[in-house]
Amino acid sequence: MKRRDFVKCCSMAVPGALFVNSVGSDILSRTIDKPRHRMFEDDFIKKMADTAIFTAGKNGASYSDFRLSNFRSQNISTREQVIQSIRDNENFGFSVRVIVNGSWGFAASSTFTEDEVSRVSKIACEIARANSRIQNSKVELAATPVYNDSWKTPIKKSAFDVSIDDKVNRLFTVNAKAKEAGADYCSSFIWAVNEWKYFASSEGSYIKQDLHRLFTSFDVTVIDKQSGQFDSRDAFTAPIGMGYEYFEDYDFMKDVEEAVEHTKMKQKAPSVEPGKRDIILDPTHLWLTIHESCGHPTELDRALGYEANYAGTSFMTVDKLGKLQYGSEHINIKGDRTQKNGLATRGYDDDGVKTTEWDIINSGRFVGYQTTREMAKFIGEKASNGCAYADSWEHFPIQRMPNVSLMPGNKKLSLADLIADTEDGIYIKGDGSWSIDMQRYNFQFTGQEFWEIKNGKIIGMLRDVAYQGNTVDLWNSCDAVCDASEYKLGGSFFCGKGEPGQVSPVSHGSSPARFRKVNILNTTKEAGK
Amino acid sequence: MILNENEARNLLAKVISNSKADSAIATLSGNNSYNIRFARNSLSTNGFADGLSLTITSSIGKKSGSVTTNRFDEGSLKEAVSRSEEIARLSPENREFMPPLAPQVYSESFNFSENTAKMSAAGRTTQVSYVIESSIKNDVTCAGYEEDEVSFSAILSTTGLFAYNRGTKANLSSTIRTVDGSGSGRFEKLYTDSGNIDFKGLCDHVIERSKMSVNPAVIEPGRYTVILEPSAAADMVSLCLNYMGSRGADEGRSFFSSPGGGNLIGEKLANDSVHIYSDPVDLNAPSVPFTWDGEPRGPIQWFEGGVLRNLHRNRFWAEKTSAPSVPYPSNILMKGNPGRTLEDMISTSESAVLVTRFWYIRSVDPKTMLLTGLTRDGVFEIKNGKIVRPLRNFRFNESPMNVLNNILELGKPEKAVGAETGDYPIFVPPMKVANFNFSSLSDAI
Repeated sequence: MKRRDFVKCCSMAVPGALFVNSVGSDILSRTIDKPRHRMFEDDFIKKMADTAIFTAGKNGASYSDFRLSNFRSQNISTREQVIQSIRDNENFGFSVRVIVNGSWGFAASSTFTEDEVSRVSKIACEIARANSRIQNSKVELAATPVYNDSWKTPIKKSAFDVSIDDKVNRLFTVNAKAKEAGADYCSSFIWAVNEWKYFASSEGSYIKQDLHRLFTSFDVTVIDKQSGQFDSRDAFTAPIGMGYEYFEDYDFMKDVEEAVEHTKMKQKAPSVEPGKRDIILDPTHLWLTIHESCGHPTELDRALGYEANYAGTSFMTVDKLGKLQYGSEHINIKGDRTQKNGLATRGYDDDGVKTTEWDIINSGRFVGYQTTREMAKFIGEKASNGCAYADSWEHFPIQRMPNVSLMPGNKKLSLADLIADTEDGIYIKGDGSWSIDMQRYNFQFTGQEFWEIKNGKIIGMLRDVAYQGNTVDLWNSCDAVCDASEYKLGGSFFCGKGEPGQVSPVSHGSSPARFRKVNILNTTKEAGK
Repeated sequence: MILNENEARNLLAKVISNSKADSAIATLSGNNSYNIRFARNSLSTNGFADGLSLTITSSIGKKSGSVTTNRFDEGSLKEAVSRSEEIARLSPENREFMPPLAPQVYSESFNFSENTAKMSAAGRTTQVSYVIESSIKNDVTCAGYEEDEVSFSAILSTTGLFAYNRGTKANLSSTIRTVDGSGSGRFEKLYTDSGNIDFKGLCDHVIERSKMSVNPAVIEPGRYTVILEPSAAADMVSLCLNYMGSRGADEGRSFFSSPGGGNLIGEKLANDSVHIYSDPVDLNAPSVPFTWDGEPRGPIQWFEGGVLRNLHRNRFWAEKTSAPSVPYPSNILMKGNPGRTLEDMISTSESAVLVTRFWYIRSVDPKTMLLTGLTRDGVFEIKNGKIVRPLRNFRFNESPMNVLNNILELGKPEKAVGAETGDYPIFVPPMKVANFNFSSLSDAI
């Protein structure tokens, strides 16, 4: 098929057609099959690492590490049958992190030569020495075993090995389907990331990792010409630690058809009556509630005050560890950097600590924090649970969220069972607007679809729904979590934290869960309309 | 890495000389940035980064491809150009393609300061030391961030367009909390010139504010007259811009869509006192006088006397709708009342709630521009011209357009940083606003 034919084909609605690979032979692998890190032999990279560590030691460092990384991404975004952008990015560089006189020093550069590695290592030591003069508490690292290892995200097909044609074709087909179903507008994108990194420490570790992740979604908008009312809905896809196989396997056609149909329904749906209602949160929504109200407050650095100037602190302070009844008995939440397809899944963190899983909430009780080598001592832990991460070679690794997931219920309970058991409630799908305070008490969330439940049956849609409340009240009001057959991952590429700002990818799994008597707001009334 | 104008032009010329595309535009950006982070009255992390990055966008007919790289050897530059051309060749036509502009004339820029560029390690630690030592002396706990940066951006296209800008920024912020955790205050300042940061005055003021804010009282959520300090006002004004795209309005999916089609330009949508504008050469908030593709940025009025004068509009949509192109601005300013200080506004208020700043603001409903967020680091009750007590934090649900409609009084504008504004240059007055919707209480400090 020629290019012109391809465009023509994709400009039409293609009823029932799934993705056709129009020009399968046009593999665009040449665009990114020579990532910069592959231009250097392993021996050379090790020599540079050793140079950094040797220089740091000579300049007074009691500890040092070297991190070389290459972040590659490809982002294709479309709107109707128009390509908005096709971008290949590659960001390669290294950093040296040292401890001198109990103070951190950090410096980074994108020029990867032996002279520059030495210079940057010296700068890191100079910074640490200067800072140590006003350092009031010395940095101490929890011990970790030494590793000489490599790790790779288990993917079936790298998105970087697939033609741009294939990606654009699939996106255009989604957009065309949306228009055919009655959407006024549809945009869609695919974003593939490959994060390659090499870590070496003065303690003797040498670790190489090759991480892959993918994010794809669409957004349909429907306008009611008579009323001027407009509404939209995103895909129920999840950003995920997988390869291109996720993009190929996801049933976009079903999702986009439903998105248009449900958006039209929402426009005609009654506006919600504010008040206390039971809510059932779908995994496409619940992931964000978990992220904001459990993931963030159990970051130990923020509980200790290290994030007070930006992200805030936490109501889950160290004195509450092991004591706080965070949720009901149905609530079991784990931190896990080994979870299948998790965005925060990897072999080792950026402190060189092997990743693991652990309990954060056990039968409703708060029992665990997320830690790094620097933070572990503050709660008397001898080892870190592996949560250090830097989003770039030029950023200092800080404590970042692992995959934090709500465990499914032990008793057999499907979503249909849960709805059938609910007298008066709202079933919420998809993440919408979210906001939570700086200690993670007061939150407000909206969603994308709100289904009204009466006497065990879904009777229609509602609109203008938000729910608002307090974290501990919400999780203690949970009286049912569906079983593992309903378990799904959600997540984000862009969890923000730190100064300078860093983003980290993170997943959150859950099964649908029911919460009793939650405060429902009407967003139109809140706007004073 | 910072390249001067000639170095940048030469490097970009080398890139463009490899182009075999119908048109190409290359952008180069670099920075030298230092930062120090502190918490619990001691240093935590720090950093120095030396970066340089190139993006080349090649177009063959109406087909385009972009590649970003930070490899600068000759072979890599050639490869980046050919990769972008290969992407372009394999891409479908972009019906909304706009070719690179011809050479343009730009205003002189004022966003660079030698003071900041020459900032020393001692200069950085002096600021941070003062905050830490003052906090220890006053038995409060500080956390904060200092950052100074020199950066540049340059553009060269196959049409001969060339633009270069070198800028600096200096930022200092600190959140100061009482030891018992029941009080908090915060300052943040961001200037082109580090010398403008009055770190001693800011720190002393915020230590006092943190102590004033302990044991906050509870008042019922509801609609109140508020005085928004400049940080809070900055969020309300700048977040409006996110909704002010002409295309969304013209397509019927925006607050600024006219019910009968088209947009609301020319309509009176806000209070008479609302004058909001952008101008990259305004010394109160200097910024880059061109866009990423070299389109010049000039002065632009958004609201005059409450009347909507402009929406931002890219070159494609401008051509399609036969309307002028209005690039997304690089700063935002709002006129106020230079003779009215914040203290004047407080002293003449019978009953109001003083809001230091907001936090975690998110869009709830684009149809009404409803936002939600929280107050943070100091909320106070004002009675009969005086701050009488600290108040518990609130969650708000409010539209910035309601805020701009309900203005009672504006004070003296100043450079401000909001919770959601990052390093975007903003110059806004404190605002006294009626009927502000506090939806619920938050236990957070």
